[in-house]
Amino acid sequence: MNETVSLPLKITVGIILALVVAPLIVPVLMSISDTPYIVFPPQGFTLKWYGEVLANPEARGSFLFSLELAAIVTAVSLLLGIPCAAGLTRYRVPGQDAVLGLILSPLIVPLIVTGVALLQVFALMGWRATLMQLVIGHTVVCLPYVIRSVSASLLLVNRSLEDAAAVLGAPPHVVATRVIWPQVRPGILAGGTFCFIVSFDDYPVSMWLADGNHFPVPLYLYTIIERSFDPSIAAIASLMIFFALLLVLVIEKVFGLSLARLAS
Amino acid sequence: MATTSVSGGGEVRLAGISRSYGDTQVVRDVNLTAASGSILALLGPSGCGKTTTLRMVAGLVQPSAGDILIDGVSVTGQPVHKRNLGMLFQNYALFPHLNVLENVAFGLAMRGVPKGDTMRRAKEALALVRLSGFEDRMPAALSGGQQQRVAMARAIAYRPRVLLLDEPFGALDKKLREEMQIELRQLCNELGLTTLLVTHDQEEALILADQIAVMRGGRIEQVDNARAVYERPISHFVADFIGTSNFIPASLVDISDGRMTLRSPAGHLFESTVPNDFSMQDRVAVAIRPESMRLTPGELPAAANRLTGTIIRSLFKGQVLSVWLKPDGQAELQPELQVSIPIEDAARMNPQPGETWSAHWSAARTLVVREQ
Repeated sequence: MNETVSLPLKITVGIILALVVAPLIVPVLMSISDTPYIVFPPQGFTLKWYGEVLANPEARGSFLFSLELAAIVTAVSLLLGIPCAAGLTRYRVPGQDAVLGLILSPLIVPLIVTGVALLQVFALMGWRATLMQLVIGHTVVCLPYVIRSVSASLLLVNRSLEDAAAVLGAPPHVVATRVIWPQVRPGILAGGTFCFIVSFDDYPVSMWLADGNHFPVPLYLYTIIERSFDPSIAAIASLMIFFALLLVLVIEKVFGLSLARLAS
Repeated sequence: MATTSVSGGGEVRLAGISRSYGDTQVVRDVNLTAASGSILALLGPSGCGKTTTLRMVAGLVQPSAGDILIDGVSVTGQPVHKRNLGMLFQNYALFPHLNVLENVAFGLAMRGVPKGDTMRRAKEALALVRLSGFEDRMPAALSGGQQQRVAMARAIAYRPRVLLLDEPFGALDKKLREEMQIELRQLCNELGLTTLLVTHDQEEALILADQIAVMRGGRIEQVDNARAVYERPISHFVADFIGTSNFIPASLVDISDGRMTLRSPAGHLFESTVPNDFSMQDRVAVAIRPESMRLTPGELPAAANRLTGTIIRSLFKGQVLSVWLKPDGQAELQPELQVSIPIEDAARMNPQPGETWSAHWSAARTLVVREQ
């Protein structure tokens, strides 16, 4: 319902948002600077750095590869995560807490440790399949986000709605599609979105597992920072920010309030 | 109001149904019949197995033993969605993502009713619960009473054989609850629906039900029409659960042509002409409703169904004045008696704490109940 938000709350939220968002504006401003090096505040205005980045086949390749990787990782994480969350929330499974702890542990262990551990395992196996290894590494890191948000939405599901639908004459598959799905959809979307963005932005895991032919954007960004210091770095960073924003906006637009509702 | 045909409810029969969870028996050997078109209340305190019994009729819980028959046909093996029942849930269970009309139409759509008919019949059902014009609202935008009505419309839209109500008015405030109870009773009678109502509220059962089954510890304690359950409770539990009673431990000393004589440990005699079928060796108690007793100032000559004592306190309760009387004699053997005096008599009689008064009542109002 329409509750009025008190002024102190508004101010607090405003400050938090400013602290979170303000640093993101810095690279965007630096990326339009018409200087051969990064300065802040920007001097002049140009979009040539964006043109340069987009024209660069290496940058484009990394960007496309990151998209591909994030898409695969999201698909795999949802495929594994939804049944897992359903099992953990709806049934009493022996060792339930241990399973949940294990799945969520990548949130606690430093990512760089997860990455190097995976690399060692793969090296010991003598296995060389970079894409697969990156997918596995990212999935390990992304799965907790899917499980958390899908579990949360499953726990919020009102079981008496399922009873009501069954009494009204809905067979089990109709209950699943017409009653359960609309309730868990926001959680699945939120989990998938997080998963995509976490994979897209990942540096510490990719760093250990990537190779020259499978080179995600964050790694590319890091290498060109070492090579040069012109505003095209800021342009790449800005593109990543815009991309994440776009993703959230599109999902918000298409699926309405669902994300906001889940977050509340 | 839309014209409706009486659908003719099914007769529901529970034949010795039980349900256990592990070692715990929640429902034990329940036998009950709800006649076609009648309203049967399952009444009891929480944990007495009434909701489990209802859920077994719905098919949401499988009985461990026994059979459930509707119109003489066993439905025990039938899945929930094929039983063609209507159900009202405690929290209404409206689909939050569907609007009012879509909620009401859900059951019709599940039955493959053509779209046009579905919408027409859903609107008819909404008219029946006086919610025409609310078709496009979302459930969250409705008040509790309105949500209750939508749930009702949804449950009757497809003309089920039997309506199941699981504490349907628990979440409503008193005034609204009474309104809805009367409306529901009217609607059920109009549609000739066989209705099973689960409630812990004795008043609700008395208002709504033709038959009341009082449940306790998974068993049926007594089944009878509302009036009989109130006027002739068979056990201490029923007399205590439905209405208020004063209990006086007593043992049977004589049974002769419709008249029972009992004596309390303190030596008082009681006579009852209320029909029952106890025999001399049964453990019983005398139960008297507060409104069955009369008060007279001072002492009265000793006789059956009379107790003299001291007023302890009185309490104004709106329509009645409740007076507590402590009978004279051995204290541990004499429970306090609660007497209700109609408020118009209270001012004239004006019983004061500390005064001696006598309570007396007729043999026709003296209940004899089984002790556990």
